[in-house]
Amino acid sequence: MAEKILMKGNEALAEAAVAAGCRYFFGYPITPQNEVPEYMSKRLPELKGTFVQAESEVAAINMVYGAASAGVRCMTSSSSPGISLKQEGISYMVGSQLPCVVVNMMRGGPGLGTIQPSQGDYFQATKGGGHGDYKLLVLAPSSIQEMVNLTMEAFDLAEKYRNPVMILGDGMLGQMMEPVIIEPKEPALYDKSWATTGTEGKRKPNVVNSLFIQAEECEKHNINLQEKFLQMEQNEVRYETLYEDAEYFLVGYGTTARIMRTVVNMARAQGLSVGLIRPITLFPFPHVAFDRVASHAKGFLVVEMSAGQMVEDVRLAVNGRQPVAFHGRTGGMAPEPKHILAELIKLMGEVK
Amino acid sequence: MFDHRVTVFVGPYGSGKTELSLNVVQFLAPQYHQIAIVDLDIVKPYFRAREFRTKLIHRDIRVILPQGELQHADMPSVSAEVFTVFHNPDLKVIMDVGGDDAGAVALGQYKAQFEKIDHEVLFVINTRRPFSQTADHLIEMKERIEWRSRLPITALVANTNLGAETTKETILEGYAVAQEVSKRTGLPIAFVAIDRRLHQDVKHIIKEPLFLVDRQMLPPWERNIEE
Repeated sequence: MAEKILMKGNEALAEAAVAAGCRYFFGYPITPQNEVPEYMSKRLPELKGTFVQAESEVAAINMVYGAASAGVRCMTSSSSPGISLKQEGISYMVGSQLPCVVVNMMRGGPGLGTIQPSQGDYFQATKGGGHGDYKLLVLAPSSIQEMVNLTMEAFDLAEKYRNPVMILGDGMLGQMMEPVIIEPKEPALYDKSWATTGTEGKRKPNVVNSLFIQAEECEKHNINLQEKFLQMEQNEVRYETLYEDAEYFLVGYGTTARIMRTVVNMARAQGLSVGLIRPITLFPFPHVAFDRVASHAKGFLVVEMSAGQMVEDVRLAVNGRQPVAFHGRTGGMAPEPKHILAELIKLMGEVK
Repeated sequence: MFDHRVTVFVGPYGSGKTELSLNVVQFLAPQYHQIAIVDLDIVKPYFRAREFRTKLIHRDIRVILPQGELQHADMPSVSAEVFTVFHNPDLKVIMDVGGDDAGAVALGQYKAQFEKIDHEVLFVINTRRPFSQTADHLIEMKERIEWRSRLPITALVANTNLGAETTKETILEGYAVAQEVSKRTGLPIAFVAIDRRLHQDVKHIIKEPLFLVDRQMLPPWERNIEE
């Protein structure tokens, strides 16, 4: 069995990718995710893999496009401003049905913003940050061990659906250290007969492309893509609920959910009936978590390190059945447990 | 322990230099009229000593860090004030240097100053960190740090830990690797750093001095519980 080691989130994510069989990494530095490329630059040459520090984020995502076309496990990583630059390439990869893993360790925005943690890229990640009708499968870990597990799974999911999968973390998850175990595993085997690996003169060349000259063909292609996104919604929803019988629920993902665990304990110590709903997949969004508590829940408080993004999906999921309040910090500031608790008590007062 | 005027912590990335610097400076503060911590970290963007500035100033510890907005940036900047610590013979100094040879490069410019003062350069080892698990890895990093910092390392600090999940076994296994590095390099182990909660478990086993650590580099949700 592998030994437990103390790792920063970024390092653990990189080693998890290696353990899942990723041997190709293309990226460009940006704080607070620099340990990902730094780690890959040391690790991949040891395994005869390839690390390329590209000339830009745009170049890096297109290198991923190339590697993915050849059917290999590949990854790129960045933080908010760099992820914006990659959007064109991500849209092309969905259009070309290419598997890859894209990591976003979010920082304060908009623009260059700050280097501190944020969750301001939820819309970009879950609603299709580039052009066209598409979705990424978006995984949001809230501990380093979970980041390891989800990263390893992300490579399988990307190949299962032939679609990019995004790991959506934030600077805090990237920079903090926790003990982790990383167990290498054999990659799941998915059909890769579409990959451009050379015909050896025995078959017609495979073509990887997102261009459809005829509108009818492009619409058919879109219908197929939508079918895949529907399958993701049916098969891949993940979430965690603490105290499902509670009357009030805090809702958050990633680092914010870690902070809210503290608040749940503080609130329950005061005798308040409070639970936590933590989406792990942001797309597909776990509507079912809200349906399951609909008959007894009295209200929800969504907390994000943003001005209010996931709260819109929570309102769609709750569908007017209960009030949904919001508390957010922006620009790289993290919400504090005592402020969240105060907002929660305010919501409880308004409902009663 | 710490009987030189200036103690410099260097070592692999994430080996625990900032945690040790913060603990050591607060441990020594009551014994010195004038004491300072120098944040020379040009590598990591979060969890830097400067985040503890207010707490340290309250304990009459001088905190030397990049000035103004620069302290929040991810730029390789150091304060011009660092030069002043070499000229005050009554000042006790703890220096927290960024990890790996990439962080140690910040020391190079002070070579001439270090030659004139009484100092020690401590190489911090946590064998439960990536690229730090064997004596070979550690000795290679020691040499790279000496090359880039232009300072010879004078002793080792055994600091193997898994954060909150550290056990007696973790400490002893890292201690054994540190002993091997000591034997092969001829450098003494200055002290073994251990979580205060494990003191009773290891105090009769380790022959070197022990330094007891209270973890301060915690994520925000754990820091808040304590307040």
